[in-house]
Amino acid sequence: MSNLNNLLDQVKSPEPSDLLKARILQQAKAQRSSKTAINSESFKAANDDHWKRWAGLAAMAVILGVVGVNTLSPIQPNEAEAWAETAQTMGYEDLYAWVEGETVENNEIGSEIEVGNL
Amino acid sequence: MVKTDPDIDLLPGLREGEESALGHLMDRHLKTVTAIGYYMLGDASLAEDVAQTTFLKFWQVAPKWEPGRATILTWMRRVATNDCLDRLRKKGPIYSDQVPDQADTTETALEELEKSDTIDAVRRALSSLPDTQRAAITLSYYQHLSQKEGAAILGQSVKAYESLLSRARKNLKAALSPWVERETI
Repeated sequence: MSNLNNLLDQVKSPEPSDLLKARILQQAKAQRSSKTAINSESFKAANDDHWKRWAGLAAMAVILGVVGVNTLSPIQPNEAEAWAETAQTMGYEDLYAWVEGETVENNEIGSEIEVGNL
Repeated sequence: MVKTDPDIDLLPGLREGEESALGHLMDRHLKTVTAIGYYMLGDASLAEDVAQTTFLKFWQVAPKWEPGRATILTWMRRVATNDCLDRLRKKGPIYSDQVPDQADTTETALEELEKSDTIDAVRRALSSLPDTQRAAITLSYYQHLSQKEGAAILGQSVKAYESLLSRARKNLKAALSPWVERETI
C-alpha cells in the first residue's frame, strides 16, 4: 500500500497560473456590478441542506399515510362479496368467514374502548 | 457538532461584495480547489476552469451564506468535485500527455525520463478509474480528507465511500503493478 502511495506522490498538481486569480476577480467584479438586489430573506441559505432531510421525512409520511389508509380502510360490500366468492371457489370459505368474523369483533371492541375513554 | 469555519473572518467582506475578501479567499484555497480539478480531469487548463467556476459560484452565494453549517472550503470542494464529475460525464476521460521530447542521454536525463514515464503511468492509471473512484482518491489521498468528509462531499454513506476507496486502490494497484513490483524489489 505504501508503494502505491509513493507512486501517487509523484503526481503533483501544478501551481495555478498567475493570471487565474486576476481572471476570477475580473469576472467577479463584472458579476457583482450587473447583479440586481437580492432579497436574501426569500432565499434559503446556500449551504443549507436541511430541507433534504425534511423532504425525506415528508415523503415517508405521505407513503405511510397512503399505506395506512389502504390497509385500515374497511372492505367495501362488493369487494367483500368478491373475496367471499373467491374463498368459496378455493375451498377456504370457513377460514375466510373466521377471519372476517374476527375483524368485525375487533372493530367492535375498538369502538367500545373509544367510547369508554370519552 | 458544528465545525468552526476558519474562513468565517472573510464572510462579512464577501457578503458586501469586497473583491479584496475574495482575493484573500483565493490566496487560501485557490491551489486546493485547482488541485481537485487537476487530479480529477488530468489537465491543468481545465482544472483552472473548475477553480474559476467554483470561486465565482461562491461569490454569487456569499450574500446568503449562513455560518454554522458546511464550511466554505467543504462547500467549494463539493462544487468543484461535482463540476469535475459533470465534465467527465459529458466528455469522457481526458488525457494530457506531458512526456518530455528531448533525447539527452546523460544519467540525470535518463532518470528524469524514467520519472516522467512513471508519472505518466500514474496519471493514466488515475484517468482509467471510474469517475467516482477517482473522486474518492482525489479527496482522500490528494486532499487529505477523512472518509467522513469525503463521503459527505460525494453524498455517500461512509461505508459506501470506504468501499469505493478500496476498489479504487485495488484498480490502481492492478494498473500500476509493474511499478509497484519494481519498487518492492
